[in-house]
Order: sequence, then C-alpha cells, then structure tokens
Amino acid sequence: MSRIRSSGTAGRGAPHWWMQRLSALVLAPVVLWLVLSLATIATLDHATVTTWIASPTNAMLLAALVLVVCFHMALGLQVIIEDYVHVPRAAAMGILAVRAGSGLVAVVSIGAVLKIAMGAD
Amino acid sequence: MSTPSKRPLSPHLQIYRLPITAVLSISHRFSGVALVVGMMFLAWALVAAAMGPTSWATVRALVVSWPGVVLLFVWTWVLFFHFCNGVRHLLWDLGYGFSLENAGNYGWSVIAASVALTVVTWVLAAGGA
Repeated sequence: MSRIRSSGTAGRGAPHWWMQRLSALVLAPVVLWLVLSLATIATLDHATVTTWIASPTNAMLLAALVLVVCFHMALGLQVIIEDYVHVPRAAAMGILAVRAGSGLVAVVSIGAVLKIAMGAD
Repeated sequence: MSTPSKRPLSPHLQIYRLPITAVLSISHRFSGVALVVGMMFLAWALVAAAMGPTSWATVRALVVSWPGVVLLFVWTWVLFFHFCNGVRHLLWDLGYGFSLENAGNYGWSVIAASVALTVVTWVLAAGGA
C-alpha cells in the first residue's frame, strides 16, 4: 500500500509519464498490424481464427500487444483516478484494483494465446 | 435597474462552445476508457477461441450480428481516434504544433485521419469477407 501511495504524480510522475509514451510508441505499429490483420482475415470460423493465432509470428505479436495494451491502460486509468478521486485511500484502492484487473486481463489473454499456439485442446 | 456590465463574463460550461482542442482533450480520456472495454472484449474472444468451437460460436454470432458490427465499427473509430490523437500528443512532447492555428488544424486533422483510417479498414474488411 505505501508503495502504491507514493507512486502518484507527486512521487513517481516522471517514470509514469515516460512509460505511458514508450508503451504508446510500441503499440502504434502493433495496433495497426492487428487491425489490418483482423480486417483482412478470410473468414471468422473457429479453424481459420485459431490457425491464424497459432502462427508463431501472430502469436508472439498478439501476446506482446496484449501485454503492452494492459500496461498502457493501467497507466491511463491510474491518471484518471488520480485526477478525479480525491480521497487518498480510495484512490490507492482504485489504483490497486486497476493494476490487479489489468494484470488479470493480460494473464488470461496471453494464456489463451499460448493454449491456441500450442494446439492443446 | 441593473446597468449592463462591460466586464467580460467568465465562460460558463453550459453556454460556452468548447474549442476543438478542449473537445479532443476530454475525448482522449473517454476513448481510452472505451478501449479498455474493447480490450476486455478481445480477452473474452481469445479465451473463447482457446476453449473451442462451441465457445467461439458465441463470439462469432455477436461479431456478425448487426449490433455487433455497429459496435465494432464504433470501436474501430474510437481506436483510430485515440491512435491519431496519441500521435498528436507525442508530437507535442517533441515540441511541435503549439501555435494557436496549428493546435486547431492538427485537431481537425486528427478527426479527419481517424475517420479516413476507419473507412479504409472497413472497406478492406468488406472486400476480404
């Protein structure tokens, strides 16, 4: 808790600012790749979709995208909480929840990608 | 009895037409939150795909339904808006685009570019499917 409390804009603002921008830079090309891939995928049946995900390049890029998106969104949601929640304890709890939630979304998504890539049924 | 004041009135949010820069500023935040929901949808779709054809069928049914297509279309635009506006933020961080006319022009460019990218994406999607 004390670590989270100190990590607001007053404590670790500069690294947060850099991480937000760095993750944005990383995401830009990968997001374009994903949108283009999804737009041009032939059909949406299960076999086509899983075959596409299972290709090593796609699986790796998809896992990386999910990881960086979840990181970027945790940083963004943290700023929103810091701006609008003025009760320090509530803000700290909110940021903790955001981090836990983002982490969960990342773990579950990457787990799903790995399962498809390894062809386990 | 009251004499009309010559003093400027403070801009009141309900009657004040927000400049494009202010609209984009708050929209960046809203679109970010909307994209969080989009990420949750992506996570759900990935899990369903991993669980097998039966689970995936639910995702597919939603995606090809009319509400699903509308949702995906809006989500594409929100994504490209956040993307283009994010690029604008990165340019600002590098020190570009701070003059008043540039700020306004870049603002409209963000909207134009995000609409264009959305249309291109859906034309591609329509051609592929």
